[in-house]
Amino acid sequence: METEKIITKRESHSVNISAGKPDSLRKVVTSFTTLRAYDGQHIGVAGQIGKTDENELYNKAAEALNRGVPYPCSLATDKKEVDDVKKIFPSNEIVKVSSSLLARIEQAAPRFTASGKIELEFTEKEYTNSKASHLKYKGNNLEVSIAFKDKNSANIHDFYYGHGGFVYDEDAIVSDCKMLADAFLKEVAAPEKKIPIALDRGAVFSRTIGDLVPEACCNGAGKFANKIGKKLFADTFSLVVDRKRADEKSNAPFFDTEGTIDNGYKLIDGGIFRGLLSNKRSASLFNLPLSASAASDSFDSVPSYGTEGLHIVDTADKVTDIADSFIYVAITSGGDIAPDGTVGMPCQLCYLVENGKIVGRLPHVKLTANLFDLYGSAYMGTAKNNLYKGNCGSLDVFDYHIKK
Amino acid sequence: MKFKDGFYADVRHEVRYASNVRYMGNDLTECKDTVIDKAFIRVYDGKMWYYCSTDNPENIQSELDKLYDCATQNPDILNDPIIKKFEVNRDKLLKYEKNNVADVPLDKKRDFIEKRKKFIEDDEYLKLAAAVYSDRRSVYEFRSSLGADITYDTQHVTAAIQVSLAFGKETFDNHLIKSADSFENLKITKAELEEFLHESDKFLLTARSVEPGSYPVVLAPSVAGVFAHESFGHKSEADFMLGDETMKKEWAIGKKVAADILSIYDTGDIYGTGYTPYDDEGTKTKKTYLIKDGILTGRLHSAKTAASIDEELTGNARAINCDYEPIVRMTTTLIEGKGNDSFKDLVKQIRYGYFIKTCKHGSGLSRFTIAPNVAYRIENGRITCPVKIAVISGDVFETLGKIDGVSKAEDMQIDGGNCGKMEQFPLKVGMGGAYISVSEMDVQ
Repeated sequence: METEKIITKRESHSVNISAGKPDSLRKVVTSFTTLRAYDGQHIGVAGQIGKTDENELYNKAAEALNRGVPYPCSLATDKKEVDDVKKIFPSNEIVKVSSSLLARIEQAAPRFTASGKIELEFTEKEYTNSKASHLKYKGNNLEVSIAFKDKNSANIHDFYYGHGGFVYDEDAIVSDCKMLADAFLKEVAAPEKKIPIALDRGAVFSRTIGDLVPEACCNGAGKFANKIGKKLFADTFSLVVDRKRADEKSNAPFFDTEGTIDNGYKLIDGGIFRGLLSNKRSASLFNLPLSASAASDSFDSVPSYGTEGLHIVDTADKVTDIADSFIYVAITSGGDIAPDGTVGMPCQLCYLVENGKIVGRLPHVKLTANLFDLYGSAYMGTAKNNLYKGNCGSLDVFDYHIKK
Repeated sequence: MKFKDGFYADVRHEVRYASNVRYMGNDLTECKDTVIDKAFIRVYDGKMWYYCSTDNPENIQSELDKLYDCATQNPDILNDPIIKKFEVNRDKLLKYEKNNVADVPLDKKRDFIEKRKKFIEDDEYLKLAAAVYSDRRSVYEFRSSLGADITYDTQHVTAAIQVSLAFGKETFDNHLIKSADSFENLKITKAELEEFLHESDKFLLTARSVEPGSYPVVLAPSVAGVFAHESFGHKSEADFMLGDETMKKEWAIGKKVAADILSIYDTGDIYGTGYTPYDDEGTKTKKTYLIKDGILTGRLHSAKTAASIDEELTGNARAINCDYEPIVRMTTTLIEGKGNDSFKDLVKQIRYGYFIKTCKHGSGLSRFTIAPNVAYRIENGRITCPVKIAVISGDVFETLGKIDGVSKAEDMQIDGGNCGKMEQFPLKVGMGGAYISVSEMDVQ
């Protein structure tokens, strides 16, 4: 019997923001151990939260083999350790840091009430198996998520700001929040001429994730059935699994839950549909390369699929290199893609960008387009969102006339 | 447990049993049961809340003591408005001891879902079928420094059949989900599956695209429930009103907010996925009308929001598990069926519009969205062909005023659902109601 063991430890410190003030401090320390057993035909999984009895886990995993869940045994022998812990600020200062930030935001945007969360998270993940593979990752990150509400409005929230990554720059965050608040208060008319639109990276394409699973696609189901090897999108459009480059703010290990090390696998390369998300089960079943996309729903689950590291590849350094004037869709909540590929997406909050600056808030608009057109003839590129000073992800830009 | 004077503290302890069996195509891809034992501890000193989560319940006292060390003793804590709001209930309510899903062998659950999967395998357009059985029973214990001492349980069971169909270039994914509060009550008949497949095949072969625009729509009870949850339920969660005088005026009780025909309520009393006899602050659930006859009648509260707005507790402080603090959430939210019309009557009034039978998901900000799955065109008062719609949406308040029909009480149905709010997803909720018709919604 072969085995593999994954130990995951997480520690998070977070401050809740309510009515513009720190309202609560939460500390969560959690650890869990997963043990998978393989007999060559089946998998047996056992897991424990907190204190672990390895013998008990081993016995439970061996016993779980009798449930008859088919799974190949394919263990690698890689050894690698990455310590990616960055100095952000000490976790015991999170209330002080949050209080200082919120006081400055209140001064910078006095018309608005802030709520949300500031969180520091530390992760440690270790993978070992009976073939002597040993992979270990340590990392951390910061998430600042603030919802703003105009004190004169009847909405629950009016706009959002999100910054993530390894750098805490109070000046940058305050400056960004002020810029958004000023823009929100300045209503502008929709431009008469056709200008591009920009949405958060993957805001549309992420709706197709279920179709990138081999069990669907290789059996002839979903939007990408029978399309492997075909040119479906623009020459510049590529989709890759790259855990450390995605938004440059993820706290993601360099290996998936099966110990497969990320090798920059491209699902779409230059517009050509090349491959699918895979784990060791589907790679064996459908003769696919490993994409390092195996993930577990919980600490004792059979591996399935995850999207950690899956992202559209940047085509330029910054979004203003692609277009300097565009409609920036800041909030798209809801919406979906119909079976015929029609994307229907109400854009809840849009700003007008002129000469690389957000100049004001636009009326509600609706995006209705075909998925393959959007990432085909209309696709202009993807790049870091440099409208902000903070790290606020990337934008996909489309040459598409949006309807009021 | 030893609580200290000069602080408020409470401890929520959950022992959660869950099992899951999943087939993907012909392969068994999951078959497991799990027990998770965790606790969440809160301390309040009148200024800040201090929280921690522990996966070792033996450490509850030491973790509680650490939180006391972070907080500042407050001799007047019992006069704090939030503390004065708390109910101090003492109860033991174990409804599911005798039909506990943990006592049902995993093999029996596996047989149940495998048998249903086999009913659908021969469909000529089927490319992939997935069949999932899942259940959960949680036993909660809640103790507070005020003397609350509650033990209760919740339980729900779900079976889902998902199909991916294709014919030529046409594809269609559909699902059938059934929920119950015990294994014995979970039913999916062969006839139901055959009807589901027949409708799915018909949709695949004949569904047409739609011309985006504004149209009258009729929503089936499960979709009406999503509409109630997304359009008004989230707006009724009172945490967004904290420290905001404008909101208190804009959302004054007694204000006309919807058509006269509309009443929406939330209650944790209904057995199923939204069953919450006590919330995670120990408050007993209440039936809370959010809208009654078009008038804003109530909203959903935690102790903090109830104290802030000086309203009564409703039993809506909930967390998804013991990693998180309770926040204001819905339980089971329903559109009350009290009209005189039948479903056919609602359809008959529409010259050209759409009937939304099932949906995939929804969202609710100033505009709500619902992503339909199975939908039909209505022409001259009759349902005609299936249609492919990506999303229906509208401004919340405008749309609430455009509801022009609600069907009878006997049409009411309740479905299970998962709700996300900020970092907490998925929270089990219930949603449903009667059929409703809306004179205008955006269809894309």
